[in-house]
Amino acid sequence: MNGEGQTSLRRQLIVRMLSMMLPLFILLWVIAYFSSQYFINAAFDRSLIRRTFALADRVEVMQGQVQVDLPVAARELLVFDQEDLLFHSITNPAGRVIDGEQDMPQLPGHQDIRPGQLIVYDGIKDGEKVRVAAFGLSLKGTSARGTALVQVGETLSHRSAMAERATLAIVIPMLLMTLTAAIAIAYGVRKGLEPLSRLRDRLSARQAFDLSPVPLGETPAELRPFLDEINSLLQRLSEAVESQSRFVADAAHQLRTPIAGIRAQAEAALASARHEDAQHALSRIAQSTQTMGDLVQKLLILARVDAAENTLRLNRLDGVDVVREVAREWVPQALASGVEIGFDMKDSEAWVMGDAQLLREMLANLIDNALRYGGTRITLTVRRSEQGVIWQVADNGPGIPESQRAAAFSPFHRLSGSVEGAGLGLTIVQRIAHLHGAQVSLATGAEGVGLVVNVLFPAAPAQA
Amino acid sequence: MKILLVEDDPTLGEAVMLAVRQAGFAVDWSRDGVQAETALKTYAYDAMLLDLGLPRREGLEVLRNARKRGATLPVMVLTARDTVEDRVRGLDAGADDYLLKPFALDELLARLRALLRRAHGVADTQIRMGRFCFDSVKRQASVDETPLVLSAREVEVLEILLSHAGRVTAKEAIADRLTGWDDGVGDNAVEVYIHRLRRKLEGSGVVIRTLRGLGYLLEAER
Repeated sequence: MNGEGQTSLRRQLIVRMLSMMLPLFILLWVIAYFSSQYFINAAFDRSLIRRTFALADRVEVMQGQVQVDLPVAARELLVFDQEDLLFHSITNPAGRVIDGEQDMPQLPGHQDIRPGQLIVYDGIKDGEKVRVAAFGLSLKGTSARGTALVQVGETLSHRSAMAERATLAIVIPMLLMTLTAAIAIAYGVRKGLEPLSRLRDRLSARQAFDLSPVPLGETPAELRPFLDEINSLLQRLSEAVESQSRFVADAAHQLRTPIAGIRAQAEAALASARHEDAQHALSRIAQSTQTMGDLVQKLLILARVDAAENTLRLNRLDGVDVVREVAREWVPQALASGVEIGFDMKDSEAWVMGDAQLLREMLANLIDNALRYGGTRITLTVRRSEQGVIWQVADNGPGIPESQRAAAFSPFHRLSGSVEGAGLGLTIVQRIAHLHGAQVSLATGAEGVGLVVNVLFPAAPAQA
Repeated sequence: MKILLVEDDPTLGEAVMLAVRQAGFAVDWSRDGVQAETALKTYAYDAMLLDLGLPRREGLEVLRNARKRGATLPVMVLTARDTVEDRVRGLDAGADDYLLKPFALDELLARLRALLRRAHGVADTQIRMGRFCFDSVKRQASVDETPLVLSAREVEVLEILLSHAGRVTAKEAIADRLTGWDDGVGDNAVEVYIHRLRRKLEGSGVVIRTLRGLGYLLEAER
C-alpha cells in the first residue's frame, strides 16, 4: 500500500501529532529547568545571605581597627558544607582585606558597596563559577568610619545538582507521559483508520470484472463521499461496458441478415452459374460469408460473456455430463468432415461450479477449433485431479508450436499458415474459463502429436 | 405446394424465394408483418418461412395471431437472434423449427422438406437410407426390398438407433429401453446386440458407428 511516492495518511497523522508534541516537550523542559533553577537559587541565596549577616555580626572596631571575632569553631561552621566550597572575605573601609580570601570576584559593575546594601551576584573564582553575597557593613566607631565589605561565597555544585534533580523530577514523568501519548496516538490513529483498510480489503477482494457498487456497510461518515464517488464511477463504468457490449451484440445481429443475404444469393447463383470462373468466384463468396457469419457469431458470444460478467450465477454441474452431451451434439458435424470424436471418462462424476450455457459455448469453441485446425481424431476427457477438475480437448492435428501458444489467446490472432476462422475461438474459451476461475493451458499431445487444451476448474465444494 | 416467405431484407428474400422455387415449390413473398398476416388469412399455405425482425408487425406476433386463428401450417423461423430465451420464445409462439442466419440454402430446403413431411403425416412409416429401408409399421428392415432376418431385440435396438438417426445414442439409453425385455440389460448385452446388428447390416448401405465413450450412431455409408 505505502509504495514509494505514495502518502500514508497514518504516517502523516502520526508524524504531525508527534512533531507538535516534540517542541512542546522541549519547551516544558526549558521551563522546568529555569523555574527550578530560580527557586533553588532563591533558597540557596537565602542561606548564603544568612551566613553573610552572621559573619557581619562578628565584625567590630577595636582600637580604631576593624577586627573579626571569629572563633575556630564558628569559622568552621561558617565554611562547612558537604558539597560546596565556602569562602569569605572581609574588606575594611580602606579597601584592605583583613580576613579571608584575597581574590574575591569583583562586585558587578565595579561598584562600591553602600552601607546596608546587600548584593548577591555570580562570579568566577579560581576558574570556578561561584555565587557570592556581599554586604556593606556600616562602621560606627570613632576612628574607623566607613563601610566594610563582608562577603561570603560558595561554589555551585550543590545547587546545580539540586536544579538537575528538580528538573529530572519534572521531566521524567513528562517523558513517560509523552511516550504514552505517542503510543496512544499511534494506536488511536491506526484504530481510527481501520475502516479505511477494511474498505481496501473489501475493494481488493472484488473480482476483476465486478462493477457492482461497493456496499456502504459501516463506512465512517468521512469516507462516505469517496465511496459514493467510487460507486457512481462504477455505475457509469458498468453502464458504459453494458452499452458497449449491447452495441456489439446489436451490431452482430444486424450484420446477420445482410450476411445471410449475400450467402444465399451466392449459393443461389452458384446453382445456376455456367461459367467456371463465375462458379469459382461464387463459391469463394459463399465461403467468405460463412467465415463472416462465424466471426459475427463469435463476437456475439464475446458480447454475451461480457454481459454475463455482472450477472453470472454459478451452479453445481457435473462436468462429465456437460462434456459428454456437447461431444454427442458435435459428432454428426465432425463425422461429416471426417473427424471422429471420442470421450474418455476417467471419473464417473466431476462437479464444478459453472454456468451451463457458457461452458457449453466454451466447449463448442474448443471442439470447433479442433475441427478446423486439428487432425482426424478429437478426444475429450474429464477427470478429477488434486488441483480441481480438468476438462481436456485433445486432437491429433499439427498442434501449436510452443512459441506461439501465448499469443494464441489474443483476439484475431491467427497461427501462421491457417486461413479459416475468426481468430476468436481461444479468446472466448479463455474469457469463459476466467469467469469460472478456471485456467486454460495448451500442451503438446501424446507422442508429440497434436494439441491438448486443458481447462482446470476449481473443484465444486461438497454439496450442502 | 405453396410456401409463404416473410422476409424484409430484399437480398436475402430474393435468394430464398429463388431457391425455394427452384426446389419445386410455389412461393409468395411478404415483406412486412401486416402483409404476411393478410396473406395468411387469404390462402392456406403449406408452410411459412418467417423472419422475426419485421417492419409494421413483429414476426412472433404474426405467428401467435395465426396460431390463435387455428392455423396449423408448419412454420420455420429465420432469425438473427440465437439465445436460448429467443428460441424458447419462438417455440412458445408456435414455431416448428428455428434456423439461425446466416444459413446454407441447402439446409433451409432440407429442413423445409422435413417440416412438410412431418406435417403431411406421410410421416414415415418407411425410413429409407440408400438401399436400406425400414418399415416402422411392419417393423421390418430390408435391403433392396430383401427382408433382413433380425431378432426382436435387434429390431428394438435398430428402432432406437433409427429414431435418433444422425444423432448419437448413448449406450445407457439403449440399455434403459431394453430393460422391459430382459431382466436388467447390461452394457455388455447392448454391445452384443450392436455387434450382431452391425454384422447383419453389412453391405446394406447403413453402418453403426461406435463413438468412444459417447454411444452409437447410425448413418448412411460414405
